[in-house]
Amino acid sequence: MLRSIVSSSSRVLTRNFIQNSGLIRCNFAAMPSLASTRSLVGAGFTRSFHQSMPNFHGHIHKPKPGEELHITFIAKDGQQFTYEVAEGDNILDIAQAYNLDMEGACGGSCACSTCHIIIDPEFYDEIPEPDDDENDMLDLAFGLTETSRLGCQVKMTKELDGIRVALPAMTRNLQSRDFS
Amino acid sequence: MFVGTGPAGFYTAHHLLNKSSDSVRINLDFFERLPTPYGLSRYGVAPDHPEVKNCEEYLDDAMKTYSGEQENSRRHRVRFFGNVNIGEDISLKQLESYYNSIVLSYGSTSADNELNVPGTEFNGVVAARQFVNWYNGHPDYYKEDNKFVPPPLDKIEDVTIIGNGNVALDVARILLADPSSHWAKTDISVEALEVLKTSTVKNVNIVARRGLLESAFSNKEIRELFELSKDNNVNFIPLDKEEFESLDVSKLGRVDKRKVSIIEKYSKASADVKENGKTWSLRYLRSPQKFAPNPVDSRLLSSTEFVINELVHDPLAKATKVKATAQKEVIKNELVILSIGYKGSPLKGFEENGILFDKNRLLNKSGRILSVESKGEEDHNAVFKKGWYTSGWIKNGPKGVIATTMMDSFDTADRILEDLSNGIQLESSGSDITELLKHKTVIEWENWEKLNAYELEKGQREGKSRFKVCNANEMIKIACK
Repeated sequence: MLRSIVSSSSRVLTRNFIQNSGLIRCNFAAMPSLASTRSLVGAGFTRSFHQSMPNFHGHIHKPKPGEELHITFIAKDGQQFTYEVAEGDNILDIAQAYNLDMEGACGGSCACSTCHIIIDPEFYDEIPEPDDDENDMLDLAFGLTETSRLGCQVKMTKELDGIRVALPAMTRNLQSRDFS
Repeated sequence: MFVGTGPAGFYTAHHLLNKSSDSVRINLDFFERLPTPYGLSRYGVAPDHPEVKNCEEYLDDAMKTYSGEQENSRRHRVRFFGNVNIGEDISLKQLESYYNSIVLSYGSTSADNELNVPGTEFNGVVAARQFVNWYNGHPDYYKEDNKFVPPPLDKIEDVTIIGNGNVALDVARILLADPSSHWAKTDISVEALEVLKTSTVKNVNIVARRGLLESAFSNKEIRELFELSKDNNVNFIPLDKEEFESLDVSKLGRVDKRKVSIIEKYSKASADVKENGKTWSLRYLRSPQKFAPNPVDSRLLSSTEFVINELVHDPLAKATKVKATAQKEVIKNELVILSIGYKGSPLKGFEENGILFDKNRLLNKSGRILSVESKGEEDHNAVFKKGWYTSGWIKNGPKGVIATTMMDSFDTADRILEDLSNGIQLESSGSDITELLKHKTVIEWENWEKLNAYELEKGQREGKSRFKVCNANEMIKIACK
């Protein structure tokens, strides 16, 4: 009983939140998982910082005190994870350091589309435009949206502090050309 | 256990090993027909795409983490058995008694789609798969007694590639790019490189039965071919303006829009012709009707007759088909390379084990293999072959890039994990399969590492990223030293 109350009230909150942040503008609406209540119950609605230690032996840096940038990942099941990261680290490396479900099959060399992410439209224009190589790979990505990017090509900057990115849900038998 | 160690196999394994619950310890065995791992990453991906081959690290990492000394104390255990042909050396029936779950991920690279046109049996008509296997050093094409004879490229000026998928463009790059400056440094077969150096090929046309929008190549590959033309004294023969004018670009999706804009951009740029350069072109709406052999040299053709098609759009079925017109065109060519798709074959023993194989692939639902008791994938009451799974091209048919295979392999792995959590698995006897392999020369991972080191070291000495050993017996000799 308690559970159902929590979930129904949080569902309303989620919807408001999505509209406020402008996410409804893009294909986020097509991602059923985004409005999942688990994200609220699990990770907390306010931005709670994930406690697990990142794997620093990878490629990411420890942010200098006072210069922490924030990034929130929305997992396939709707759970949200927020981390404090350093300027200059790319999103693929960050996701892998925290063991999120993001693969970099080509080792971050912009030769595959396995680190495809969907960027919060509010932040999309703050990122330098994708070059031809990245566009080539995005054209092969599952569930391509207007604000899709490759995680390996997006570096954290001060302008991106607070950015939210979603990991696309697996969409079987769907070709990239099904999306416009 | 896995049959096949290409991307489908190692991505599925990667997901299993990393996503299984902490209480589960997986003993995982890879079986590979060839002495070398990586499947199409080694033998399909073009030599000038080394970054794509970085995916091989997934297998390397799994082996590094879960095999070798003290493997019993590690979380999982992974072994590699190369040079073992499942269906021949070990029967499917035997496999069932050693494992809880079996994944068939052996690909669709054993045969070619057939073209129903008179003359495909001529020597001047070659399947792209054979050409690819030759330049990528596939052991099946370097057997002592049955060596593939490449087309006499030193007698050929005009080549037609039929089909315009990424394999077709790989083949076009092989024929157009400079062997010494572009290919020599790659891991291309050294024998193939020597033949390419003698090539007199001047013109390559890539012909497809449908139109520009139905082109099968990816934007990456076509842009690469344009870029390569700039640096290799190669001219692209621009498409007619009408090809673009007839298109309503505003209605296209992002990928098609970009495809059109890339071709349009380079069509304009290639207006200034380089003297004495090779040429290539994209030809649309043409289906081959008849191959004409060369009267002087039986290894060659003299020309190919094409019928000109028109497109028929079916908006309800969302399909674009072609209808032949009465118009014909004869294109001069000494060689035709058919790049119209690969085909999968069943393993020995599917029928007697009740595994449903049809239309060149394993019938399945999300990777769970169907039993012959099922009517097909649409059967609402489908019966699974308990404990048997599939991933990659043999699951879906031979299409899609590595990223597609990866996503889809994770899907199969999730089904396996679900089944294991619910006790759906084969009864394993608990014995070790190595008892069946005592009389077989098995290439284990440390053997492969020896061969790998040899290839890399020899490659470095010769200024190549890798020197591929192409003959299987030679591979085994080096690996088992």
